[in-house]
Amino acid sequence: MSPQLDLAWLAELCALPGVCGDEAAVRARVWQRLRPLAEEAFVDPLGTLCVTRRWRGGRGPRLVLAAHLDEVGLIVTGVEDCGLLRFEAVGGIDPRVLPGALLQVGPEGLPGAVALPPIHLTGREHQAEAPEISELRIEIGAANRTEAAVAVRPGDRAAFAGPCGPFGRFFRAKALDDRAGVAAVVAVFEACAGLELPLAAVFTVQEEIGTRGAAAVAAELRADRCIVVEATAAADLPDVPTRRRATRLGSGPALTALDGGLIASPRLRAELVAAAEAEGLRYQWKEAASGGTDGARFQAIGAETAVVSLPCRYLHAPAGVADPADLHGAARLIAAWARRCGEASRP
Amino acid sequence: MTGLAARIAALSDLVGPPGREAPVRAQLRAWLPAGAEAREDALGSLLVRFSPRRPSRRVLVLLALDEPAAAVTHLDAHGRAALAPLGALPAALAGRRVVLPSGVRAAVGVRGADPDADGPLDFDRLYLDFGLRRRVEAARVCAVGDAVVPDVRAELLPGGALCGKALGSRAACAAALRACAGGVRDLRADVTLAFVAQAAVGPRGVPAVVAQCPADLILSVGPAAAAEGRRPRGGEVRLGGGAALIVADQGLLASAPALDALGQAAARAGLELQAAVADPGSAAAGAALIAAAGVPAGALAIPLRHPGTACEVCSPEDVAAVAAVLGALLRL
Repeated sequence: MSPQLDLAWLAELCALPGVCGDEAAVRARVWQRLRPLAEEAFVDPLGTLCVTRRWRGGRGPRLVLAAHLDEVGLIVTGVEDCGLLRFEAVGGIDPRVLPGALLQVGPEGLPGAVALPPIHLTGREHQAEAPEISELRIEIGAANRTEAAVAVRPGDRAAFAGPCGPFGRFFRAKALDDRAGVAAVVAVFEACAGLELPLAAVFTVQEEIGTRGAAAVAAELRADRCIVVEATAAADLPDVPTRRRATRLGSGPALTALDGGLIASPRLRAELVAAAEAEGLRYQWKEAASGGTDGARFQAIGAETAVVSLPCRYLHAPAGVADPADLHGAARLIAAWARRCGEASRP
Repeated sequence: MTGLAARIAALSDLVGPPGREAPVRAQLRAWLPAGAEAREDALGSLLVRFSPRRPSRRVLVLLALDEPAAAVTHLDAHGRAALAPLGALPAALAGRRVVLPSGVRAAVGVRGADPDADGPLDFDRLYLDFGLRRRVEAARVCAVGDAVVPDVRAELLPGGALCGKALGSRAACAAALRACAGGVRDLRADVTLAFVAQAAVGPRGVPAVVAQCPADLILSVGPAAAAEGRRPRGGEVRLGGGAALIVADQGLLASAPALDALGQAAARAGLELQAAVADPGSAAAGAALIAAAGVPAGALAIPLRHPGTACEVCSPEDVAAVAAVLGALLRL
């Protein structure tokens, strides 16, 4: 069965708040979807969700498909007398993308926006400068500290908000990094439910602040082989030299030879290429050695590991853009690879 | 060249960038003494175990299998390859000849009309020149993810020191093999020599190795920069001064049991150790200490001039001293 990403479900998933350490809403939605297929499942103390089939007693190598639930965002650190909220970034956020960004704040998902003094009140010499995060505040429509404190507490997260769904021939949403990966892993798990291989779909937490969830769960699972599915930067923009574009939208899922934390298993890379060529699927190589993924954590405990990346423009910003064809292609490629793993392990 | 120097030179000449260590692994396997049990882990680390019947303790010796390199990240329309560093290989690679594991050679060029006038030389400005003109031609000899290392052969310098690439790590491998050359009957400890893949980038292979090899003592053997006068407060390592004992580096404060064991071993071998504080240091032992949750760990080092360059310099006598101390420790 060839998997197809459920784009409507992906849009719902992207719209949910899930800033690092506060991934419960996303985890619940994923569990709701995979529960009928799970033979076993657990949530580890950090919040990583593992859903398995034939993990104990299955035939062949133990395969892990991993994607992360969390997204970059903001964390409230204090309330001003005027009701505005101080905050810090959680994960790598370029402050240039923040002013004016729409937010969902706190456990109730209050509407918010990132405030910056307007151009009228900003000296000409400062207008070209990127603001520091310490200069920005979150506006939630509270008139004073008391009103704000009723709704929000320090430590609450604020996630980006905004429309998620089709966007011309592309797909636009916040948190495509890595909800697109989550949707791909879900699609592959659904398509591969009939395989006899031990298979785990692993949805990690706190990836954006140092792959912390993966570090804990990798040691617990002791997989033999791991594919991490992760959104990656597509800088296929007019003023970017070709050697710095990393990936291109519409050229298929990107295979990673190496990144800032991992040299992908040569055998897995070769198997993914063979699967793509056998199935007539497009793929590209990620042409950058920067960034890092959960893959390094799985590799560190001895699992053969590779990364299938989903090209996405404007990562870690209020709206990313991806090509659905790349997302479907990634799911098909990984499913084809898993099927071939299953065939290879038959007696 | 003969004996230990020839072995070090032969290992230095092999091409083994992180993730592509097969030639080094194969050579080490070919030199293993009888009775050694060898296997590879998923990352490509070579684990060689010597298991005597009633071992005095379990010792894990960490050695680097790979070497710093530059990875190909992009092939452009003119058949040139963009590069990114894999480990601490300096951008001074510019103007050198480099080689891929396949044996294909290339020159390293610099983008910009005047390389000296365009700011600091970093990897973003370097590219591989295969002498080709189109991307399709380059794609026949090189792919994204391939890695290059300096194309140099180890040579003896007039003073008897060796000069070559990756000498520090490969000399450590040669020293470890010499220490265990007598095979399992010659050892009292249950020894695992872990020739660690991807040690130059992280060191990523160490946690996986430590998880697979329970030990009572972990020892890394690698290079230590021979500062020779550049460290004003002492603690420096001298080329030709013998084996060095790293008491501290960026990732390690050597534990007392490890220091004691190395001190006893040196006394048994009739050698003195140079006590050193290493700056870049022997991170493998530090990583192992963390990964093994407090197992005593230490580092034995080979003095090395010009570390991380294509012309590292080490003394075969120092390597022999390291082998002697390590051998004595494994016989305690």
